[in-house]
Amino acid sequence: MITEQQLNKILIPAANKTSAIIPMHLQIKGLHLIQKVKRKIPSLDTSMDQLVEQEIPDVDTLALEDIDVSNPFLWKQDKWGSYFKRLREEDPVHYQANSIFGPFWSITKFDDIVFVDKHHDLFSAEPAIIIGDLPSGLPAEMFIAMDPPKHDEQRNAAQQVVAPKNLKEMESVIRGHVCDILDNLPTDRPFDLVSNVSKELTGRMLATILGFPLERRHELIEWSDVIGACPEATGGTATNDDTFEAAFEVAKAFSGLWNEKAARKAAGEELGFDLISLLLSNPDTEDMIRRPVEFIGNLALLIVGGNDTTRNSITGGVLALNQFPEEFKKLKGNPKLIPNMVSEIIRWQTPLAYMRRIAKQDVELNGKSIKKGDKLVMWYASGNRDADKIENADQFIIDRKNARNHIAFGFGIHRCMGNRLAEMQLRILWEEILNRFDEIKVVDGPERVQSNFVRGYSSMMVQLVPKAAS
Amino acid sequence: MSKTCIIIGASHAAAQLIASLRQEGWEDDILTIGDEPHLPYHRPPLSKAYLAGDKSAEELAIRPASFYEKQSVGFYQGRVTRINPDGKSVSLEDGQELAYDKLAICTGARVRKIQLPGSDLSGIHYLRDMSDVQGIKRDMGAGKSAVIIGGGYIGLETAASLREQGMNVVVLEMAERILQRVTPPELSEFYTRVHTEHGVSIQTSVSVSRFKGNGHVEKVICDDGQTFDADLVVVGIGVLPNVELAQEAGIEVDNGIVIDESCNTSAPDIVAVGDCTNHFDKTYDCRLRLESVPNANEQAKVAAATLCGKKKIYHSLPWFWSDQYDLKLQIAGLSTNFTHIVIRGDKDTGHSFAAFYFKDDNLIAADCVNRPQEFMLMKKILGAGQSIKAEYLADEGKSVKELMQLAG
Repeated sequence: MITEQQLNKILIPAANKTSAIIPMHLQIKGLHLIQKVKRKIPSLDTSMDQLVEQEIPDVDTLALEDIDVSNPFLWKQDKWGSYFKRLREEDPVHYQANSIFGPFWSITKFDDIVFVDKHHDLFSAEPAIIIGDLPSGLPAEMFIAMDPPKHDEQRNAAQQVVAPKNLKEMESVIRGHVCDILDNLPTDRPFDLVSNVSKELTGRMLATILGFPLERRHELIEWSDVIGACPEATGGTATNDDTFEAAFEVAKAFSGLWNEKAARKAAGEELGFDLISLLLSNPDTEDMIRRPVEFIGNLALLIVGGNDTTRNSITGGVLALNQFPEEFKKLKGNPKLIPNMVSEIIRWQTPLAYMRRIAKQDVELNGKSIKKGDKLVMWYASGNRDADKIENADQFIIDRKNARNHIAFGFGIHRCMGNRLAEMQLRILWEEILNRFDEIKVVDGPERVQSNFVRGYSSMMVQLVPKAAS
Repeated sequence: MSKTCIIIGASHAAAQLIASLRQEGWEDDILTIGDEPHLPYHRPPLSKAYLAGDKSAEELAIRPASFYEKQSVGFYQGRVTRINPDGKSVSLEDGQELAYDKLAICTGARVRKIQLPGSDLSGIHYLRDMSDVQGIKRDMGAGKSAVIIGGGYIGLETAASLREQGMNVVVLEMAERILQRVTPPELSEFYTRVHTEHGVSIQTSVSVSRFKGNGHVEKVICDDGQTFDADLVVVGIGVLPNVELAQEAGIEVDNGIVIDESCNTSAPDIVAVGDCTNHFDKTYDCRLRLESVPNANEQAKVAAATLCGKKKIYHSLPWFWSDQYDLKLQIAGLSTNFTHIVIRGDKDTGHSFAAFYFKDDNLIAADCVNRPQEFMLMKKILGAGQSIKAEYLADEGKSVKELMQLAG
């Protein structure tokens, strides 16, 4: 262990150092200004003006070719279920030629999705996994949107953060946070579950695994919300300026964190098991700070990946148990069902609607000819409601057999890296909820977010009923 | 919508321009586009402290990153390929077109390249950018041989630095004396003596004809058949102003981008600053293109005011410096066209003296070697348009303080 004094000797000059290389956040500022000045040239204005909310029509009034499931209001208005049901039944591999995100195929059946996801040799995850484009002018590379072998190198380095040994250590940390959050909730009045529990818990966990100061966790949550809400990517509500400002802050905060930990490493100190430390400890990624496009991309990936997903599964679980009150009774009668229920919540919610791929060659899929270069969207949310694969798929059944066999985590080399951590967070949360409360009543909402990618909730008012003294 | 000032070139001029723009009240966006991966850095130490390893790359930065962050300045590493003054936009190498409200051209100068058989061998370097010096550092080493082509300030500074690293150093100068373009024979003799004392071989009236080597340079061969061993060659034969962007945009260019006393170019909303510019100097009554940091800084202050719609006039005495070994040469004014020279101190044996240049009865410039007080005095006198009698300057019995009283 080095002393604080020794450390300051290294850190203070490092912090004040007038680095010769243009720091990442000033480069991002440059990219941002470039976007701003490009927008002044009228023909180059790429803002998504078409994104105006209109009432989603009944799916049966539409011709098949007019069905556009990339519409970010489909989820917001809670109309997605009937749309995907019709596609699964009438046109399971569906082509939409005229969406504002460009033409794309929708893969809606469970087995077809598994086929595409499994065949990374036929379908590339590059350059992005959302339907649209990355934010204009902000290049980002992340391993979720890379093919082997680069994907494998970077994922392996990051994966250590959710290695079993790390998870075991995290369990008590999570439980501490869960108890702290639940014990401070009001029981005499309704409150917003999303901000008070869902965001709070995932924000704290994310700060822990990223090695980010806990007291600044709200910044992480804000960045995640902005990055995930880029209109040209997912049809969200953030502006290009918002996105760049978030990226600037992420770059500044995390390159600072990186330099600090690099200085500790240089001083011979043992690093922790947070993500930054792990990246610094791995020869494949120890110089990632020199590759800003990857650095920002992978941080954005983990920030959004670790945030939106679990957060919305927390809210979604409470919502499901309210829509299926018999299941809550079942749960109270048998808390051992919690692990199985967690899988069922994740299937039922499927917090990320899809991943996209690009065909690397011509492929026949379920009777359709997909051409090399075509864009495919694997709708996990639809596959998880596929009646041919899952019995009573629209029902929420906490003791469902084979509940783990859902595709909300994806399939194959890009399968969600944080699945165990997510399941653990949800399990602990429900264990502690049952210890404290007899009921969580949804009294208003939920409000759903505007996105074709994140199946999220911006608010949901609930009222707690504390457990009767026994 | 907010306005944008685009600065082309992340240079000395840019660093000062950014600071001055904020001081003059520019509240809108500032975007700096440069082709190096660095924040603006000090170039003069490249041939000295940076080459010697006494200063790190980080220490060369003119201002810390936090400064630019506070001033909300963006940097983009890229190359501008076209300026379109009518549409008020610039095009980048990658095809992007960016609109500007105000544009500052700070493109500086580039080294003049040598075109001879073998000049593409590895081990042959120039000295302008940080990356050049990183290349030199890879090839240098005690006991190895270095050949410097060009006996100007850059060449001599590099010779001194490499000699101090224990290299065997030869300087090859085409003219009959080193520093011929910028100094009188007295200074050339002085620097020849000092370099020779340090063991550097100064060869004049010699032209390089080709380089020999197998991948890496091994020999430098001259017109007269002389051959010099070389593990490392540094070429310092002058620079060319980067005026092409301006020229192709129809902006007036004449040995530099032509600017007026407020740094305006011939195109509206476009200023130019630094080594790439050519301005009219009232003191010397002629147009000048200066390769100097003080010129870039002073012009940047004026240009910033201009960009903010204010009026400042550029009128500064040119000054320069050159560090070699323990010698600090400071130059005030321009000695071109001098009629006679006065020496204060002993230039033939010592390491400290000053040379004063007169045109008829008027003092026009001074070279001060390890004479900081004399230099400060000269900056003051010349800057104020004053003169002083030659006989006073020659008299070491008169202190610099006394000389100050005698100026007028």
